[in-house]
Amino acid sequence: MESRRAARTFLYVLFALFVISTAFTKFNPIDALLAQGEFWNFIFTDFIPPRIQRLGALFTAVKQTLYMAIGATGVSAVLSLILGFLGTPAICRFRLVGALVRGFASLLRNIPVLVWAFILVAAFGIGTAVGVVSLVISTVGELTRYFIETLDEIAGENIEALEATGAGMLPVITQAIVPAAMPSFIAWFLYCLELNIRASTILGMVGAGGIGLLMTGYIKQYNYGAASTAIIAVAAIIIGANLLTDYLRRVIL
Amino acid sequence: MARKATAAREVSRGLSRKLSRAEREVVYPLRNILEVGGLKKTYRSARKPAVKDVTFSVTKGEMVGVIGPSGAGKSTLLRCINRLVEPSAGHILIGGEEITGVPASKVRQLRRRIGMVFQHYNLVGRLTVMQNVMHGRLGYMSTLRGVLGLYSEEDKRQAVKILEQSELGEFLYHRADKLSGGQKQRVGVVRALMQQPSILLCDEPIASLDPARAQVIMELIRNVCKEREIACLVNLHQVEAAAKYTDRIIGMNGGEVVYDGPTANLSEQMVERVYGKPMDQLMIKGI
Ligand SMILES: Nc1ncnc2c1ncn2[C@@H]1O[C@H](COP(=O)(O)OP(=O)(O)OP(=O)(O)O)[C@@H](O)[C@H]1O
Ligand SMILES: [Mg+2]
Repeated sequence: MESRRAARTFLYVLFALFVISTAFTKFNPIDALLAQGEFWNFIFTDFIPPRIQRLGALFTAVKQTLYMAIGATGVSAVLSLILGFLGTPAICRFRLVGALVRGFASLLRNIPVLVWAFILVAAFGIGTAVGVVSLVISTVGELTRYFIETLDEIAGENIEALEATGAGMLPVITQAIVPAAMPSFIAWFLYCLELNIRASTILGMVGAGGIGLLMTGYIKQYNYGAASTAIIAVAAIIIGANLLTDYLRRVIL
Repeated sequence: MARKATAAREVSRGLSRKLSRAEREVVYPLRNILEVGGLKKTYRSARKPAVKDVTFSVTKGEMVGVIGPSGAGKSTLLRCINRLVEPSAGHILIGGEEITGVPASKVRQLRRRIGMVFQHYNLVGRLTVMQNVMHGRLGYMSTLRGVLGLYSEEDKRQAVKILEQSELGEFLYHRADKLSGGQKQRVGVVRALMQQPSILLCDEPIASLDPARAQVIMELIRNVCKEREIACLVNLHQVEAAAKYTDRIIGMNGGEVVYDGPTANLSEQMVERVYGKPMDQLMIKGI
């Protein structure tokens, strides 16, 4: 009874929010449906067929994008590992340090990667380095949190048993906690790698280099055929990354 | 005797000063490997103490069962002894050395001589039996060797020997999470033995095992303690197991010791007093 009333209230609220937000954004679902023709027309005549031009530039851009994602995820993993140990109360007993680490990570995490890239591009100009740094910033925020969750879960029992033998914290970390946490660490790493490959394709659009930059460039030049080749490359990268991480998950975990 | 009683009472008031050697010898004769005096523990979040006024001593090779209803303070008592839980007041002496109030590095040193066996085994599931057992040596190694896991050949030989004696010889390189509960607990006991402990603390070592396996574990614990003259404190839910395998029983209720005497003298009335309800209402798993 209670739950049904709650569900109904929830639906009313949702509907009200929908009405209010469409009114504010002047988004009209019916218009959107009617405008479909124009949209598809644009897609089919301008984007198809994809024009293959300057293949070298395309490959360089794809490579940049992949390097950006892989490099950033690697650097982030190392930083997050250190922060993860410092941020887990059962491992690092300086409460202040733990609180600072967790606060810092959540600050990094709660500002979207695109915003970081935007800020950094504004400050340092266009380039892949800026892309890497912005990916690192947001990935460290994410990974640190996941690592802390993982460590929190396994730390209790394992630490207790080994501390009871008189072992110091460092050996406990390398001999028990790391081996126990390894599968989760790898799983989170692969998850972030996947996210970063997606993100790095988009990052180019705000000027952080790679395939995204190339694509926005083509669109701005009304060179839709070439842009569509770049879009296909993006899709291929993302599908490839999914297949790769799925494969790694199956093999390693 | 009277002097000992007075001294013990003083200790039990939670004296913060260190005992002089002369006093210590009166209160804690040296054959007692473990001495607990006036132990009290109040958890920060709790109003009532989980353990209060607990005084007893254990000699080499003595097997002591600690029984009592849930929440009686059995685990708290055991954990105070190796300072996994910080005592609020009282003294604990391991082989004549104070473990309360000493700095962390000294605690680590003393812990090496105190093995612990857990209800849930607390093994690292992804590591092999051998690797888990070797963890018992970490306390004796330098930080660097410990971090790198460079165990000495001698220690490894020792591990293989004990594992073979406890019928785990064919599982040396099996992953710990692939073992049965009984095997896991045997690994837990061997890990503790690798410390060459003079005291063994077992917190509900058989609570997760079926009766047949429980029997094997209790026999293993009893045998090694007798062989190596290890003083053993074992928390047990099952009165039967305590009656069968221990020399002496400490009965706890509400954080206090309500019975302390030879297992043979434990009467039905005493058990009822410890658990606070009649014998036939006790939920007892057969063993
Ligand atoms: N970490 C803790 N923080 C606060 N209170 C605790 C903590 N651990 C135990 N207690 C409380 O202290 C009392 C004694 O608990 P303890 O675990 O020592 O009992 P026990 O005899 O081992 O019980 P059980 O048979 O259920 O294991 C209980 O009231 C318990 O709720
Ligand atoms: Mg308990």
